[in-house]
Amino acid sequence: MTEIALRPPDVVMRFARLGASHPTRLSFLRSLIRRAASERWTVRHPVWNLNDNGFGHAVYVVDLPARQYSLVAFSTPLEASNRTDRVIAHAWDTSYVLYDGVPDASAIKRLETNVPLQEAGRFTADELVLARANKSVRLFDSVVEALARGEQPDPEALRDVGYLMRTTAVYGNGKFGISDRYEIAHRPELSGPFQAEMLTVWLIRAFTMDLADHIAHRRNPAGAARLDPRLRRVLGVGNATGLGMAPYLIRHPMLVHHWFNARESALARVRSLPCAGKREREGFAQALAALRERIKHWHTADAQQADAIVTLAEDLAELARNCDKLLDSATHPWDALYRFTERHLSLEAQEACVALMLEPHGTLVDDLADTMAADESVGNLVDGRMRCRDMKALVDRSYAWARQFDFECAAANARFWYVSAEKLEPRLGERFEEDGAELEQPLAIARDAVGLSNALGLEDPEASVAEFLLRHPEWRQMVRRAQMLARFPYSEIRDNLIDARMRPIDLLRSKLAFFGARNFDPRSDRWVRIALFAGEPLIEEIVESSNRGVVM
Amino acid sequence: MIDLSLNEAEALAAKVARGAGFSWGIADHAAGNPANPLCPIRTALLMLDAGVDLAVGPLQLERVALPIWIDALLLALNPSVAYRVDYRNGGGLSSQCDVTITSAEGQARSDEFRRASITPELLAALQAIAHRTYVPESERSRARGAGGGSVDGE
Repeated sequence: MTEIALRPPDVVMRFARLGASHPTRLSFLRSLIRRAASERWTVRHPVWNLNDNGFGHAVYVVDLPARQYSLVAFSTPLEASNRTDRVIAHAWDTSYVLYDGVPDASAIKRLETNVPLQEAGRFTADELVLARANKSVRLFDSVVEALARGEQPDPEALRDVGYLMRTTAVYGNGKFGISDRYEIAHRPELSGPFQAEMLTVWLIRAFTMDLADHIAHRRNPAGAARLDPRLRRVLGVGNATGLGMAPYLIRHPMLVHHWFNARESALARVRSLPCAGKREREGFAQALAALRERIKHWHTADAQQADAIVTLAEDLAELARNCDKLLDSATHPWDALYRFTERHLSLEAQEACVALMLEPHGTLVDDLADTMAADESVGNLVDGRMRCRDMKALVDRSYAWARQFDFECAAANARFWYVSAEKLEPRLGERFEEDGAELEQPLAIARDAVGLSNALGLEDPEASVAEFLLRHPEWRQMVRRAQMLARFPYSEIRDNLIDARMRPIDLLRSKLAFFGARNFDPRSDRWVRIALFAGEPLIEEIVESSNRGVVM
Repeated sequence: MIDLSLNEAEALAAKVARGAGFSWGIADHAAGNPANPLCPIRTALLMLDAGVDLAVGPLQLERVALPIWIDALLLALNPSVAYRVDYRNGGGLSSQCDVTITSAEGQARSDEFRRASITPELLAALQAIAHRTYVPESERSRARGAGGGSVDGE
């Protein structure tokens, strides 16, 4: 069998393509769902302490084969004027922790005084994830009203919004005193990236709909309807993500390599198949039809994304017209299909097609989901015995792409990343218009790669990198990254992170697609709304879904 | 006392090191005290970079400042290799002290990085140094922010 090569990082790791990312079956929430189905996780809520208006707290317990995790949910009154998507808010409709085990009454009491405060609270190693969510007010209220009348809400309205609540932050890994990731990373169910965070959001999804049912029932105990399970499956959890998430992709090069390497390996495996089986062809056709249906409900006010969606719809129609013919190809039919998209369709459609091609090939690719975590400490060490000559050659080879940017030109240098003193959040400044560039975060990778190459060019070629770094410690980070990039080709985003035209939402979308997000709705060039778990099986019926063969 | 997660301690240490004048590449490895005696941070990094082979014999260093940092960096950055750091005429927090580093292959060692406990006063002092790495808000940056911002009436 001829092996088709992985798509090169020079193609994959560019802003435009990152900004066209689609979730795949290797996305983190999909791996969580598969594990929950195969291990037959069950959910109950032993504590349900909410008043007529839906304020109070509830505890959801998930029973796994070897462990229990609990979502502790708090619902509190919120003035309409305080309801904001911004991470800097300080009050929310609902707030949550994922608790390690089952909390007793004293733990719940402690959490009650801290969780609604979020960043201003203080947490312990018993808490694994901290999150909060605001109601999508118009939809939440209309759903409650319909249910209270004994009716089901309008399915079109549910599909158009996609969720009853939006999270504005989901914190893991030691933030505000919660458990460090290394404490739980050895547990099989949490060893993959962001599995604790995804579990939290999946449980929040159940709570948002149970809350709507609860309020409707209290308004009309005799006649209220319960939200139909078919409609529950339509709804996910919204999320608003801003700039803060973007630097993560630069700060975790080795992890990023593993994510992309897994997805690209999966694509290469499918493209290398010598023929297209009947079941796989049907699976592809179903996934294509489902996506075409879904994008009818993909709404955005962003002009660029709106155009991309229109083109995507046309391109998917084109793909549907051609896919039978392409998959009849005598050799490598899936490769023929992919190459067709590369030649004829938009980036948005190309990346959608990657996801569609993986969809019917679970047995071929799902094992790659287990390769998406990484021991990042390996990247701490520098090989200082390397000669400066060899180090320069390595930098010039690995960062050849960085030479396309002219850093003498103001537009290529226009921005700087910094941490704001007021909010302690990452921000993007204008280098030539604002103060603070001297406190720039080390995220201008392309510029610094060129700088490192030039600095090494001034050294004795026979000198060791260790000697060079002793005199020039300021290059240590770039030396480390360069040595890493030589081993992990998808570890760098091969674009200019300080360019005047750089759109942070391209970075956000890429990361969110790895989470499993859909319905990307850019609200500006630096924040985006999405939906998680919309259309996916419900955690409260994962065993039934699994029995019905819904989980793939 | 305030209980910090390891991630919080690391993030704070990196900012404090940067705030104290180290470049990011070194600050990321958590550190701080450039002084006339040997800087323990740069000494430990040089040892690791150069791949000093302790099987050949122990490494003797004279006049190292705060030598506990040598211990900390060797442990944090290269956990697969066991070192033994002996302070010859002082302790880990001495302003200067002679140090012997020997290979400790085969000896049991604690490589558990756990949470940290810190007094509110010390935390505030460290945060003040970390604060030097932040950029004060201007009217313009406040307006532009991270995006978003309007009250959500939907």
